[in-house]
Amino acid sequence: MRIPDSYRLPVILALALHMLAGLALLVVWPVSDPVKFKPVPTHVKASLVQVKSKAKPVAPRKQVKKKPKPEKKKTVAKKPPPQKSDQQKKKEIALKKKKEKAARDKKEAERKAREKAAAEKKAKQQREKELKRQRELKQQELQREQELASLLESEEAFEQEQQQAATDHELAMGYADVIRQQVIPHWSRPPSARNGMVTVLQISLVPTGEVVDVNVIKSSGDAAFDDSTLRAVRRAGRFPELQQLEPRVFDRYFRKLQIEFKPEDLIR
Amino acid sequence: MSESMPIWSLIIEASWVVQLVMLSLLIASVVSWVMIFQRAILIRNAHQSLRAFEDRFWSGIDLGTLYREVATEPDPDCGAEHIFRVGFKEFTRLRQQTGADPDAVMEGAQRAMRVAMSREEEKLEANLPFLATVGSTSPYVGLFGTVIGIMNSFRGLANVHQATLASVAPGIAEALIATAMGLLAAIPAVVAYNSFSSRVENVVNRYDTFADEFSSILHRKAHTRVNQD
Repeated sequence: MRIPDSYRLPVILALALHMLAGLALLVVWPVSDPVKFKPVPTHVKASLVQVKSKAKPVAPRKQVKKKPKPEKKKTVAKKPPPQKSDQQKKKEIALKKKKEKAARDKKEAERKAREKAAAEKKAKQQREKELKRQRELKQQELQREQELASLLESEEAFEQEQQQAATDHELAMGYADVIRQQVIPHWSRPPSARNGMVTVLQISLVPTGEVVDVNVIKSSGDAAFDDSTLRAVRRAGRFPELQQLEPRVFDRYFRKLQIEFKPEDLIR
Repeated sequence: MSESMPIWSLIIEASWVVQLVMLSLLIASVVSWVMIFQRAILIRNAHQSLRAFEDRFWSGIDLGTLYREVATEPDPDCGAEHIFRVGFKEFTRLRQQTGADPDAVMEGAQRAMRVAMSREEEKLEANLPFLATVGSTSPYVGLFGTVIGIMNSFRGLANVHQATLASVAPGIAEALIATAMGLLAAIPAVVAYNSFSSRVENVVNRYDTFADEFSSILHRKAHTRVNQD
């Protein structure tokens, strides 16, 4: 595309102008920004305290039972072979010895037979045990699967509950803010108020929004200041907005409400 | 939103309608500035060459010589020169024809000059309507972008339980940029339009005056020649 000669310079000038303007904005804007509206220190802060601990303790963690390992009792009771208690009596009577030997042989044979029988019995028991163990294992597997399924289910429910809790919390924050703003105009700070003082009150509310009780949980150390905060809450009296809240949320967050008073906006 | 909000992020995060509005305003601004520079150069040149030509014309130079000089190297910027050239050419051509009536000759020359003058005026006034359009409509276009932006920002607000200033402010700031851009495009265009149209009028008036003066000279010439015959 050819630009007519008479337009070439104007085009260049116009583009240069706009680029300059854009660059100036890019450079100057962040400089002029640090004005950053400083947030007014919130001198009254309502903090939500949950009265009831969350209905469910952190979901049942995986507690898969450890499968009891069948102990292998391999301690086959071996009979100690009878001590050879002869020989030391010298060769008095060969006959006796012979007899003895025969008896020993016999004994030996007997013992062998017994041992064999025992071993057989043992093997049988072992086999049975093995079978039983396998059956048990299968059972356990099944159980585990079931457990896992139920765990998954409970996890889902837990998640849902948490989500619900999050929205509830958000809602409650909003209402706490409303309460805070209603208390502020009623608060007149005493001359003894100093920056850095903090008084925390606990307000007991009923679902109609009425304040039934106010207590100082954490004193600022200055009685007049504490009194002024108490007066402010009593003067505010009731917060009818709370009637709109669901009882569930109210119970969780507003039965007892903590409000923090700080005279941070004083210039002293 | 305590973080600083760079202006670019505001533009980039705006909705596409607002972005479209901003883009069109940017284009309008660029084009109108092109026009402004081009007109400024053209009108200034016209002024200067008009003054120069008038000086030459009234310096007592012989019209035939002047015509020959001008015809060999015409100055495209100078309207008065163009008028003079056309008028003189027509005058001489008509007068050379046998039995030409001086009035008819004058009429022909004047008509030729009128045509040349309207051509010149057209040349000077070209693009001025564009500036007028940008000047008058871009604030509205910007406002449209702002309204759309604010509508979006409020619609997003419907889902929030407790509306705070912080949740509306960025959207509104974003939307207001469109208006700012509209005004930024419109103000120079309006100023330039007003200044240019008055200057063009000034130049055209001077062309008119020059054409009248020149035709009076030609008139004198035509009639004296006839009287001599």
